[in-house]
Amino acid sequence: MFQRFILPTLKRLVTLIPVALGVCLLTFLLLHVAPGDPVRLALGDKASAEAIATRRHEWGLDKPLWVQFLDFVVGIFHGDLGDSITLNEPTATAIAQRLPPTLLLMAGGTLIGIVLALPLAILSTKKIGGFFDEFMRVFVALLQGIPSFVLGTFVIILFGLQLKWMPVGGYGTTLMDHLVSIVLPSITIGIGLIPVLFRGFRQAILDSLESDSVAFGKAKGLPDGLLKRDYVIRPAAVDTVNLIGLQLGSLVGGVVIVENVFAIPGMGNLMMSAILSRDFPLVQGVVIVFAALVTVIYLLTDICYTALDPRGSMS
Amino acid sequence: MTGKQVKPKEYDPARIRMFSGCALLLVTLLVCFIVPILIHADPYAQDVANGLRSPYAEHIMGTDALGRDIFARLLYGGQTDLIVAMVAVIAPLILGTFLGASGGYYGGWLDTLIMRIADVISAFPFYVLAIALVFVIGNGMGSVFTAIAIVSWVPYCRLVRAEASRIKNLDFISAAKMGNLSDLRIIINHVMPNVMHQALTYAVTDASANIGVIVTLSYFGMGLVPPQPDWGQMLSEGQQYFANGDYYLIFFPALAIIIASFAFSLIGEGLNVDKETR
Repeated sequence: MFQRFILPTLKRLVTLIPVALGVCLLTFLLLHVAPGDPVRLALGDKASAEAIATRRHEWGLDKPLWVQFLDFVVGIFHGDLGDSITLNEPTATAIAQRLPPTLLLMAGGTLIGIVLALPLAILSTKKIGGFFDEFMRVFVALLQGIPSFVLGTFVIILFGLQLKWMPVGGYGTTLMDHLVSIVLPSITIGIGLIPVLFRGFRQAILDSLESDSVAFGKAKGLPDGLLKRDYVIRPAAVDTVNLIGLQLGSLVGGVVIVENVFAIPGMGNLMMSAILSRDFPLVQGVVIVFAALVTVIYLLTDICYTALDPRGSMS
Repeated sequence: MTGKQVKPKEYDPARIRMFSGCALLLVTLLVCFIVPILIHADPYAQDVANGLRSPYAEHIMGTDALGRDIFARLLYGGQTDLIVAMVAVIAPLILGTFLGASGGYYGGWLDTLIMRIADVISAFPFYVLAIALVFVIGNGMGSVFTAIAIVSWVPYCRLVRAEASRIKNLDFISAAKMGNLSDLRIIINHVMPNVMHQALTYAVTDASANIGVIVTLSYFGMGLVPPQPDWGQMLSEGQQYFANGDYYLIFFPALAIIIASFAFSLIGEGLNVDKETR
């Protein structure tokens, strides 16, 4: 147990330290070299030089850059991401409120993506190079080129405006409202995930079809259905966990777009409104939290992969 | 291979995909660049009295709120989007290939440093970093190029590094070292040409992704900004009117985006076929 899980996880965490520092440094520099003075923005054009100097001091902007960076990093580890200029509340509080819709959307999108892509991949591997397989490859290439906001617009028109099945935006107030309102955005994200998931599933099934265990199972005279289920699909599922984890990472980026198309008040929506109002601390906080989210997902994927595949070990 | 053998075919579907992708791209480019000259289309001419008219003889794709011809704006928007998408591939391709080749060739601390930087970049969700960068640099074509360069060199670097560390001990590299060539010259003249092929293949797929980035940014009012016509921005303008069922305003730009990225990803799909087993 210790050898297989805890030690590799700890090792993995240690290698994450430089990456985490790098993420902080990049985010910090990004918004410090940005044009536009956050103090002037917060106080308005007519603020006196004195008021500006006081506020600069309050925010620690008069200290040397490296001290500011240290303060920033120490703050992050205390859960302090600074104060939002426009929302009159700590950035961390604003983000915490917006996190649940984003997570819900990611879960829903991934689920729908898997439900759509897996049967297609199984069908397509029935006859490699057959008509359906070839058709799917072209279809997947087509789907891959559709940006998620275009997909979202189509989904809104079809399900929301033409069929009138679902609300086309907003998030509602009750849990039921929330669940109903994330259906269409989740479908958008799910469809957007089909290309990568389909290719991954297909490749995983092909790989396990070629493995010795399948030849062995065939030689044993196992019935086709059983052979498929236990010797092909199941080992393929292990590879797939890895793939899904990696996709979840990039999926986070797509969520940003889709949230804005459907007006879901999640982190992506928060980021866009922070950008429009040039709320520097808020943008900085959201970007950091997004990066943390991706990193945690990658880490969990690694752990799951090790747990599922007896041969695998984390590197 | 013990499983089912792929049926030998007189034609190769991967090739067909690649050539149809090329043909589609060529047609799109030709339409965007030649047709405006032939029909003297003006994407800026306003005619508010004839605003928001669905397609009719004079304006075959209708007009937008200011009475501008959607067809003309689509063609000029395509010129911008396609050129930006293709040019934006160059910087990350060169940067990623060079860094990957150097890392793979030298190994050691330089390699570790480069790969850690790559890890940092890929810790950010793609669109989050791209949007933040354009926010910081400001709008305009230059900032789109810069943002794409900073965000998308990583996959090139990873692809090339693996290849470079494989070939660095081969004879022709040793021969180059013996010939007393400088490291920089070895990397550029001897390592890079031999590890470029995968990166070049990836570049085609990347161009397709770039179209997505460019139109997504401009859809949110970032990057390419008015009055420069652009597909993403046309879509976001059109969206204000679709509650009344005026779908033509978004249908044509959406179709254009899909056709253009489909062309690139078809080519990529066709080129990629033998690289499937990672």
